[in-house]
Amino acid sequence: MSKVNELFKTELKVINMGLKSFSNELKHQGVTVLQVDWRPPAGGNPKMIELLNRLKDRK
Amino acid sequence: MKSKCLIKKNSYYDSVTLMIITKEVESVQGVENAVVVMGTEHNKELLNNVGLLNDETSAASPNDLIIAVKLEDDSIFDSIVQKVDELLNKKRSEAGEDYYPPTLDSAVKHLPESNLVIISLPGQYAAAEAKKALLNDKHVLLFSDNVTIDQEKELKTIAVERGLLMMGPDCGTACINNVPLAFANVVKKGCIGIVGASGTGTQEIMVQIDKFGGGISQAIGTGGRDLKAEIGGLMMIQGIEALAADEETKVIVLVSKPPALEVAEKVLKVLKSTGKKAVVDFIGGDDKLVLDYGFIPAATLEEAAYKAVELCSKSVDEVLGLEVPEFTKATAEVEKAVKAEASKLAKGQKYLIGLYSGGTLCDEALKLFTKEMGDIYSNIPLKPELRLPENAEIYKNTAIDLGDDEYTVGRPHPMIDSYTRQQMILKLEKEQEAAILLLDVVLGYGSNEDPAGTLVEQIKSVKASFDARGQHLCVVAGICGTKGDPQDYSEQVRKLEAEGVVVLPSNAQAVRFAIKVLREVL
Amino acid sequence: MNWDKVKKPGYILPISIGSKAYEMLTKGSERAAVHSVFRNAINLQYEDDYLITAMPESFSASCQSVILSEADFNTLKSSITVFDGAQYTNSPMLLQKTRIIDLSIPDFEKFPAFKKLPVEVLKEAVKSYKEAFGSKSIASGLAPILGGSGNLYTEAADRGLQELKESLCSERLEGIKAALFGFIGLGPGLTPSGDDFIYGCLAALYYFWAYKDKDRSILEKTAAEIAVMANKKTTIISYNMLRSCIAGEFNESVRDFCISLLNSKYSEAFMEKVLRIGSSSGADIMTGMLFTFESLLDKEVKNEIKMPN
Repeated sequence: MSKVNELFKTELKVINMGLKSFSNELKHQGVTVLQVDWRPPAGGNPKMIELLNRLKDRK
Repeated sequence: MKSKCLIKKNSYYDSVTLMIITKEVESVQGVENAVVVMGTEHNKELLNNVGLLNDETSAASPNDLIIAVKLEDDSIFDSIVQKVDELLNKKRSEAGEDYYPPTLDSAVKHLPESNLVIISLPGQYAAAEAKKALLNDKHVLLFSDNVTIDQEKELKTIAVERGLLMMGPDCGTACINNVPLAFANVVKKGCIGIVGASGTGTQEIMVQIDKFGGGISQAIGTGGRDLKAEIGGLMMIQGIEALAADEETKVIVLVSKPPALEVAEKVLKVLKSTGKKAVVDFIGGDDKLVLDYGFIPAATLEEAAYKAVELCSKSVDEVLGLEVPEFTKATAEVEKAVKAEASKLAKGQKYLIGLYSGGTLCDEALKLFTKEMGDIYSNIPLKPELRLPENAEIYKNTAIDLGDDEYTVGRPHPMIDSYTRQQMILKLEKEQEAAILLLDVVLGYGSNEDPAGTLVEQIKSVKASFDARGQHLCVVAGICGTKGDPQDYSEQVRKLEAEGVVVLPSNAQAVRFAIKVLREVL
Repeated sequence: MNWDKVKKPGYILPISIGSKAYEMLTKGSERAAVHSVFRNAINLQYEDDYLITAMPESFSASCQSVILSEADFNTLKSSITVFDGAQYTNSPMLLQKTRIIDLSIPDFEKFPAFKKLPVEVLKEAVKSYKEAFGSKSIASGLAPILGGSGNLYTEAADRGLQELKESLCSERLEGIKAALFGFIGLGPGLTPSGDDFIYGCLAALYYFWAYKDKDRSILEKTAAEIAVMANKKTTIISYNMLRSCIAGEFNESVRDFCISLLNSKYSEAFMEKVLRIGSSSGADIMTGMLFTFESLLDKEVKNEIKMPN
């Protein structure tokens, strides 16, 4: 069974990154949701982020 | 005694957190003392004096956090690092707020059984986070746009390799396991599975299926670019295959703007191979192609929904032969309302003005109107020459997508914030040739909690101005919403009707009603 | 449809705004980087490392603060952390109806009653505050300077403290400056305790000089030199705090405390308000103020003895 079809048969459990209202609305419906307190990495410098991600990829 | 240190670059934690860390670290067995300070010169000097400065600490800047520890034995340092990370990540407030992990990695650790990551971060960061989620074997709904097409291709390729859903970028609507996600309505569970490349298109189809008594098994969003040649329908195909293998799904609905031909054929071929019945709404696209593959085309989103519901119990041929009702209400009743509105219009009132919050709904209005009545101007015109002239907010027959960039500068989307639409409605006062104001009212999760309520004052005011000069403004609204939506459907209708608005249960019906009224006076 | 637009924050009407923040938001650049976000503060970083701090209404303002209703603060907080990431644009803030907070030092000349207070009365007030503060037994940061057992940081500050006390007693600005240099970036906290201490010290000096109707231009020069020194030697938040001293526009509750003290209106409420600044900054600011007032008043007593009548 593909992972998508597994998802269809499993209770939805969500990690939400961004708009908090999405979290609130999911909670309102009784869905398990974990909000990420996201901050821009590397002080928000996109070049740095790309570099960091590349470094991580190499691991 | 050994000294060890941990540097957190550009880390800003409030002093209370820092104090707690100091205490907690000092309480660890084998720690003689701990110093938690920002890496200023004076603090480094101080660390040097107490023998805690090393090469690493000396390189810290005033905006870096230094956690320096004097301990008996190196081996406990790892547990200290872990403890510090836990404390920094915790940030549980005194008020007992929920735990918010700071990164996706920590969230995955905290909720390993999570299966879907929803991302609505700024586009520049979103793709990297989506990739991380996929590499953690999580399905992704990426609401953000401003993700490049190359990034989209990369994400979707990873997703396909791993058998995951990569909904988006720019995926505004989905419904997985009967849970509405992002901008979506509360609909009954059923046997119709949707794969949609258009957010409001999917929303309207879901809503209309619910209205016709059908239900949704799954609604998978792909983002608007999935059927472009560059992406080649990767996610639509993935979605179709998943719906094919899903026992709950008996009928499949595809909705998208007209795709590139080779992509359309590829998608239809995969759809054919599923053996399931399907309605394909390539909005305004080639019906013949769809028919050739043995599927059912649709002229409107409502029609797609109607036929999908019928397909659950009928064969393709039977459904192809069906006459789709124009209105939910009885014809006589509709005709009566049309006459009542038309009779109040004064001579010279002849144009339709559509002010839309949903892009696909606006596009649908343009197509229906053009077919019946001819040219209509817009900011998302069907032909380049029908683009609204510069400096003209309204020009002859007009339908505007207020969710388009130029209208949303510095404001939330009109489905959330009605300000721009309110202002536009008030400005109609001077449009002496306007006969009809056409609106969409989108309910559901994500939308404004009282969309009708935010519009009625302005509708009242502009109607009064028309009345005052012996004219009438016919206001028609199509509601995209269900009885299950959090906004209270009946109350929304009541609010609009109280101001004399003719409310119809779909966008297509609202447009048809408007056209009928215009026909009476032209 | 451009879904990105959904994420723009709604419009925000600040309740009040500090003069420097107003100047920056109306005349300065439109865009800022988000420096840091805390439970009750959002720091936005503009050109030249200027920070503007948005806070909910229960917190006392400085000249670089924007005070928002609880609801607006939360709106801003969620919109910022989430959507604009490193970047923030001023456009959702509507400032036309916002009250600008005046934090300038009042003209004590207009209140002659102030001057009539004998120094002994003021000393009594300082003593009462010291006692009240001491009873809190704050052991962290530089608070133990005023009494109690020292810590790593007070030990490091000890020598500078002697020099500071002597310089304050003789009102030698060069000496004060040299001593305060030693406090820049010293100690724990996001704004290291030493910086908070300097802030308190300068606040006391500014208010005392205003009270004595002394020309403050030389004091401003000293504060400016300290600010220049603090650049890159401490955190950006601290640097902003020290830079704001130059104009003599101190935090609301610091101002209220200084005025009440010089008017000898002892009230713990004024002290408590100062202690609520930041999460531990208030205590170090209070330490700086009380230390400085005490030293300055000691000198006054000596002068009074020297010059009878």
